[in-house]
Amino acid sequence: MDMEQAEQLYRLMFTNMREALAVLRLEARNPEVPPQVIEMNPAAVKLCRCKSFNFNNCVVTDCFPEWFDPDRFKDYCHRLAAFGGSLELGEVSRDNLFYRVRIFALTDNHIGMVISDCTRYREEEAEIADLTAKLEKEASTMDRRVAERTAQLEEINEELDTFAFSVSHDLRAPIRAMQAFAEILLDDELQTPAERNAYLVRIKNAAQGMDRLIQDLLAYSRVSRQEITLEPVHLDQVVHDAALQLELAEGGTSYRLETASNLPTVIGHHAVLVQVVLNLMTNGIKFVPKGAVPVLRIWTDESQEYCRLYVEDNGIGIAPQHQERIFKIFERLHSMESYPGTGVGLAIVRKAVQRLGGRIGLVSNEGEGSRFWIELRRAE
Amino acid sequence: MSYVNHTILVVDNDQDQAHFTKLALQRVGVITPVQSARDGEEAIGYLSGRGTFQDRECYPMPVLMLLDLKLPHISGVGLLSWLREQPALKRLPVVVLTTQVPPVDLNRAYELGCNSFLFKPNSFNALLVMMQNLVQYWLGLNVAPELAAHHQAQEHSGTSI
Repeated sequence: MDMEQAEQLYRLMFTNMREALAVLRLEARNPEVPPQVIEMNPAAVKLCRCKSFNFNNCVVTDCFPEWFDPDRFKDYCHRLAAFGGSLELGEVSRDNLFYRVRIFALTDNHIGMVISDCTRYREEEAEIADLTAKLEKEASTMDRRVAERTAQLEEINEELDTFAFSVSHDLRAPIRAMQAFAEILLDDELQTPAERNAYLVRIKNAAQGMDRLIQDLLAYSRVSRQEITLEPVHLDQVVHDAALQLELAEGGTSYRLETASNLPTVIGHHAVLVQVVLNLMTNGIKFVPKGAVPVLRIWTDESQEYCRLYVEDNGIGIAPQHQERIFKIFERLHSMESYPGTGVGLAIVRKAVQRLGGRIGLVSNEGEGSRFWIELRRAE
Repeated sequence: MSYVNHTILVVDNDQDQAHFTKLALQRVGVITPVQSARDGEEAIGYLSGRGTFQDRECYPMPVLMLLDLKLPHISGVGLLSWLREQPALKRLPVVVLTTQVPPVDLNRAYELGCNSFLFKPNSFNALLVMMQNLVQYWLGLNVAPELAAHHQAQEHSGTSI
């Protein structure tokens, strides 16, 4: 290839490049003179804002106003001219486009400048950043969900542990009693017939107590495991059915029941709700001072989405510090003699209300009666 | 051997279990009537000499308390922590005699200064053997601390345990 052809090709290459190219000249002896543009390709001309460009004494900072800090740019150029090499000057944005500028040494008083459009690159970068952020967000949601689920599982495990522990404790108590009474009866000739009889009665009582406990445990387990299909349920019917069952169960005891009429329809499960209301009623009737006639009041209170069913009694009340405990299985605040029971009734109520997607709570103070409430979603 | 003037206070909510403990103590020679309290409140009443318990002829200060941890309202652990805060009573030897409890309660009982920890056996005969050892050690070998007998115990606020 002869010189002429090479020259022509170099020229074409310079002219046709999409990147903007410029050749700058420096006054090597006078570092105060700013670099001047002596040659530009068409792509660079397009970017040039200098009206009087004449390829002779045009100052770079006039061609590309405010692209560079004049003093620093001049310093960079002189340093490159002296020591060689190249330098990325970074990115400049103009009219929503982004340009990357690089300068490099040509001779000891000439500098080459390349300006490439990196807008697409920037857009891609932004997209990648966007995607990364989204991914991170999703990962953190996932992390949170895993943490939540782990916490839930830990809670369930703990509940199971206490459950197993309580079951073994409360079921073993009557067995231990039966065994010990039987041993005393077997070993001993010293007892009067009356004492022997009393021991046998206690063995029977222990067996009965154990049976009641097992029944209650089965009810609790049923409420925890059974398939529950949520559907609209008439609270009027629920309270009516519960009241009937209460009458059957409490045959002997006298009590008064005041029920509001026209109770709303809620989302729930009829049989489960009857059990809930019955347990709350039984509870309200049981814990009254000796000699007092239990009075139960039942009514509802509705907001737009939810309905609260209240069961209020005139009983002995529950001190605020014990109010969380009463819903735990086998938790009993009173001795067997004063208020017999298995300590499962309210645990069933809470578990059932949880299964129905509702909430439960109470307002009470010692000696002032209790007002239990359950909150369920309204049907309409 | 028989033990006189050795009042033991049994704190147990389960009346059958309290009965077994008392019966077993009698059979191994505890002649002084074994006293009992059904729950934490009653035990506090007894120890502080409130109400009918003022009569120390009928309800003498115990030399040893047998404590079940499973009590309604004020738990056994709660009662123990109350006891150790009473200037007049805090030295009273306490043997926990309880049904199975989680390890955390066992450790807590020791932290609160129980002097011994026993699990109730299932069988009455095993309980007899246990009570035999217990009275031999605690009423026979062990040297009891002095209790400030006539000192009125600090009022209990009731709700904090």
